[in-house]
Amino acid sequence: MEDKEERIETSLVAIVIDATPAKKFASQPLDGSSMMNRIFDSLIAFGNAHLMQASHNKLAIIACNSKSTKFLYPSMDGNSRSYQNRPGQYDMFAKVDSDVRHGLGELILNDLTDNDSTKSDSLLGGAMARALCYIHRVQRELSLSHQLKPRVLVVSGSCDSALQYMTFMNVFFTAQKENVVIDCCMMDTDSGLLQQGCDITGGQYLHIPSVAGLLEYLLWVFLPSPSCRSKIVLPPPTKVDYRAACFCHHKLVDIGWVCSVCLSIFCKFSIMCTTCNTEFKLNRPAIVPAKSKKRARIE
Amino acid sequence: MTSSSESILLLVPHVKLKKNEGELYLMSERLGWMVGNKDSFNVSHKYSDIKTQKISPEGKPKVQLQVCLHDGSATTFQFVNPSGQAEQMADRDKVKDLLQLMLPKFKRMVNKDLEEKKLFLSENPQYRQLYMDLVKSNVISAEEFWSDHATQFIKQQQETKNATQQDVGISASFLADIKPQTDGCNGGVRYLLTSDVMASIFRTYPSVKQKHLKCVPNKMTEEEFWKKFFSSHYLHRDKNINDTKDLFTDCGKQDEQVLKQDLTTAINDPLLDLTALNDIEDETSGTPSNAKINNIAHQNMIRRFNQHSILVLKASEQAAGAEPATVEAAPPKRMRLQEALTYDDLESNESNPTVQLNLCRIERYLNGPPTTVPSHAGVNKNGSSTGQAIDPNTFKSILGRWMRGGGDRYNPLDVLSSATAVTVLGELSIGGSLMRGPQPNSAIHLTSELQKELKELYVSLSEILKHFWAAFPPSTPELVQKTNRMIDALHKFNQAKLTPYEQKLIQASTSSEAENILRPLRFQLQAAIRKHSQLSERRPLPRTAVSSM
Ligand SMILES: [Zn+2]
Ligand SMILES: [Zn+2]
Repeated sequence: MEDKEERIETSLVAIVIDATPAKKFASQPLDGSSMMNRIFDSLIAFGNAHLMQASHNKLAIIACNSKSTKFLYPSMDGNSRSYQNRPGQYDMFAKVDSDVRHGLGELILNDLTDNDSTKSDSLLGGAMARALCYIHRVQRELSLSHQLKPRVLVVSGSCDSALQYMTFMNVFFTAQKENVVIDCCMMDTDSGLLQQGCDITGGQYLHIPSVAGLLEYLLWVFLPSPSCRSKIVLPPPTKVDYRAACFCHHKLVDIGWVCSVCLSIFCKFSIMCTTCNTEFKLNRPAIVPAKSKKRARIE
Repeated sequence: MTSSSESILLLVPHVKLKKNEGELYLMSERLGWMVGNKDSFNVSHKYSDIKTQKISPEGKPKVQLQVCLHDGSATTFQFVNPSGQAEQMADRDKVKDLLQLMLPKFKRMVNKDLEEKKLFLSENPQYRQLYMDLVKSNVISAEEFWSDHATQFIKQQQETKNATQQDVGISASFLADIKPQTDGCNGGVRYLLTSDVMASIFRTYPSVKQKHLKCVPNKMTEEEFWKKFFSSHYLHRDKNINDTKDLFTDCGKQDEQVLKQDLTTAINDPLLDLTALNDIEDETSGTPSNAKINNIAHQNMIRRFNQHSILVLKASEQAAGAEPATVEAAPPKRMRLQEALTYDDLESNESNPTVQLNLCRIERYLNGPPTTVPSHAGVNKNGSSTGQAIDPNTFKSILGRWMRGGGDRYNPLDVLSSATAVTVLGELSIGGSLMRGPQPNSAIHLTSELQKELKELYVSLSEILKHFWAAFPPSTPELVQKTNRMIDALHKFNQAKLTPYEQKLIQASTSSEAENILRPLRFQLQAAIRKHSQLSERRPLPRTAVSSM
């Protein structure tokens, strides 16, 4: 008991930034600048605010678009870039600022040359997975006198990434197993998938009504660690829709048929799974086609 | 008609039941009463159904006997022998005495059954609750409950029935337990042998049993036999091996022979080398002669142990009973060697037949449902909004400016203006637009007691419904009867359980809320009743069969 109390709590926040809507936000002017600037600056400010809370606190920032994911901070470049701090600015804050500006800008510019970033989904699932990997590594490398309190904060503005459904779910359940809380701050759009993720891992999901005030939302809702959130009044949890979509018509179903072999979901019963060709033998021999006898051996 | 197999133990004429005169029969398993000129019983009670009997007190004008049944009903017989009250009393006493004799026998049976049921209910709280809800409220009868609903109990009972009963073994110390009693007059010692002890001796020494069968009735008395046995060296041969002949000498020889035979027949394992188990004489211990005597004593002891073990093994083979107790022939030597040489867990387990997953849509399997939607068909709407309007070069310059925005060029107002901050703060404060959660569900306000009751209602109802639907399609008359019974039970359930609960709910909250809460239950109930009425319209059901039960 005693040494448990003595263990220093180290709070690690891994911010996952979805960079795909950058263009959209860049086109929205705001106070002589653009919404994109506001968002990115807010994220830097939030990261630094987290670091400022306690000297042991750790920060990781990962950005992704539809092509790649990238570690912005700590920078994976190896050779640390020179950065310029304002007079009186804490060194680390300046490094965060510089690394994020550089890394994020590069990521978006690289994508811009390919020119079809909006055609496909952002790799949010992959970025979250990288965040989990990083958390795992930090956890292992941490000395015994420290206790890691990891969480992931997803800041996104894109719709549900349908292509990555499985990746998302894998990430959520891994996070749940690893005791990593997933928080999510959505701008403009709502994400049913991320809602589920926050619910599964016990994190906070917030769909913010005005993007301009992002930093305020972040500081108010997401800066407090999950352990002390129970003591403050936060937006109540949203009702999460856990319905799954059927594989055949992509409709959300309340009750569906699930293939016992490959777990495909169907909204109507059919005698054969269209994903894995498994035949379902119910007590209706008349319907089963004669062909099935050949396949019966395989099962 | 009384079945011929039943023997009539007592027949008493001139017995009145409800103003009719008839004859009272006491049979081996039940009592019955019939009107004189009939040939079948008007009333018949099994002894196991009878709880107690009561008789009218002395001096009352009517001489009566009442039998009370377990289900609470009672039948009163009046003895009206025309010869007078003394005869009537005599008649009644005859019946009473016989009943007194018979009832305890059957009572034990009933009690055992009752106790089993009681135990079952106390061990299975979910069934106890079901019993309370369904039987105590008369929704279904107790017999129905035990025969149809308490499936686990039935299973348990059958299991105990099927389980072959194992013989109780012989206590290891049964001979030591025979306590000698000093006989005052003769100065000798007396042993008291009970039949249990004798049986134990017979089982331990089968040859003694044979001897006993041979000698006892004709050659000597029981007492003599046992005296001889206890003084014989057969019993004491471990202590004293050289003795003169006595009655049991050939018993020893016989045992020896049986033992030898067992040794040759039982051990046919080619890999077993018994000689390796030989005791090696310990050369360091004492003088040689001493060692030898010890050795013989040891050998005798070991021999006795071996004999005992063989008997135990035989007993266990016999206990296997119905199963074929044949010892399987020892597998050939080669196979045995193979067995000793190979280790299953070292073998590769390739032999496991695996079923290949035959995926014809791998992407579906890997990615889940929505992947079959072409991803560019608007899944991602990022590009479709206003962002499309921006010119790449403008975007690049905005981005470039932001990238260089750090350091000295940092403008705090780029992060948050105070007016926005205040607005956001309002949204996140209590009463703000982001702080309104979903409307609380009214059903949550049920007290825990009402909630518990509701759960019990669900359990009870689904139990009855389960049996109702299990009878579908009602193709046989029994099944039709079962649906009728269950529908009756459902109606009773509605009256005895659901309606009172609804009243309680209405008192606790409002009637509309109560209706909401009970809707699923009522829906289930109505579905069954509707189905049943459809069925009876199509084909008139023999309702009479139900009422007669
Ligand atoms: Zn479908
Ligand atoms: Zn399947």
